[in-house]
Amino acid sequence: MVPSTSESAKQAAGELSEESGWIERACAGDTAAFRRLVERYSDLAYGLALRMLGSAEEAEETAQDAFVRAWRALPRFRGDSRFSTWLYRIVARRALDRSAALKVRRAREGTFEDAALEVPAPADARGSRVSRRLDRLLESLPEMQRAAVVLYYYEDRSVEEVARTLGLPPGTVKTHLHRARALLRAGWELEERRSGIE
Amino acid sequence: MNCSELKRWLNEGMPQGPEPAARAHAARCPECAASLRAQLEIEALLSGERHPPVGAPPRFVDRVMAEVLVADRSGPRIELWPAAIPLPWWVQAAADPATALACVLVALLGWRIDWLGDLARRAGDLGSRYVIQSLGPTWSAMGLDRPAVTLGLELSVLPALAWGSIILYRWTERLSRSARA
Repeated sequence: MVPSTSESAKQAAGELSEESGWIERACAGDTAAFRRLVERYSDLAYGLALRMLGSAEEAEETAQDAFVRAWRALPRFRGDSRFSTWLYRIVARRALDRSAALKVRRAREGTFEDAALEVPAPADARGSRVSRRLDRLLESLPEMQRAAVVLYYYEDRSVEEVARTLGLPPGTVKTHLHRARALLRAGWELEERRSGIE
Repeated sequence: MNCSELKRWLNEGMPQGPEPAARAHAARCPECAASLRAQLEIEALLSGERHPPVGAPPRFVDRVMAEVLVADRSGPRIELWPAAIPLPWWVQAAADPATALACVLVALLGWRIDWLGDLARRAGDLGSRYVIQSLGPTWSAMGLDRPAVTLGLELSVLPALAWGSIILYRWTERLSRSARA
């Protein structure tokens, strides 16, 4: 049976209240309470890092690092935003830092492996092919543009939320999204012409 | 709508209002039709319809918790005064050295009160030797050569030194953090 709207609202309110209890206890140093938060948000943090970095190994390290930073910073968490939004911000910024460091390392070592291939792809053959093409194009975007695209589309955040997460004005996020769409489309059309896929 | 207006519309994420005009233009312009097709396909992929949910790897939570258990929560920053208390900046800045100095004085009073008298005498001697002689009669005329006043002045240097040290430490900490970033 599908739960009614009021039941869903009650359930969400219960989850939030349970979560604020965990946050309070974790602030006081209770690691068991923090574990509950990690269990609840591990998929979210890892998924965001994976979308932004394209590499499972890097994503795991980034998400892990973000949780450790969250644990350290939790006593200073004032509850101005939801815990998930706050954690999101930490993961996104860690992923941006790591992405910039990776770019430098790859340029120095001359390795440009196709990291985007580690992102899970759809099962059907064409879906898989076009999805991997998009992942490759995303990988080629500048960090901030890629971060804006991942947060706006994959994580379904509004422009204002993306701006808060990345610490940018909303107008700058819009500009990043405009440029990212233009670059993605140009790359897509180029590959269409090359491969002749229709 | 012309070609550049259509490109701008695509870059804005294809808001609904101008869509009929954009489609009408794409029907007449093969290049814009290709762009529109590409953008529609990209938007469909980005909207997540074909993306399977991503789950954290097995035992990820255990690995995070192992790191958390050894993590030093206090971090590299010296926090002798809880930052969450809403006090003016100058009270917070003076609180750390003042608290440290108060602790030292209370400990001295409780442990060896005669040490304080000794300390006052020594401080008075030092003051007389280096400060009073150099400043001469002006100092005496102002009544600043009395031992209690001299001790007070000299003790006030200690919190200033401690404050300066902490400001310097935090500045170098900020510098090293920005260098790491």
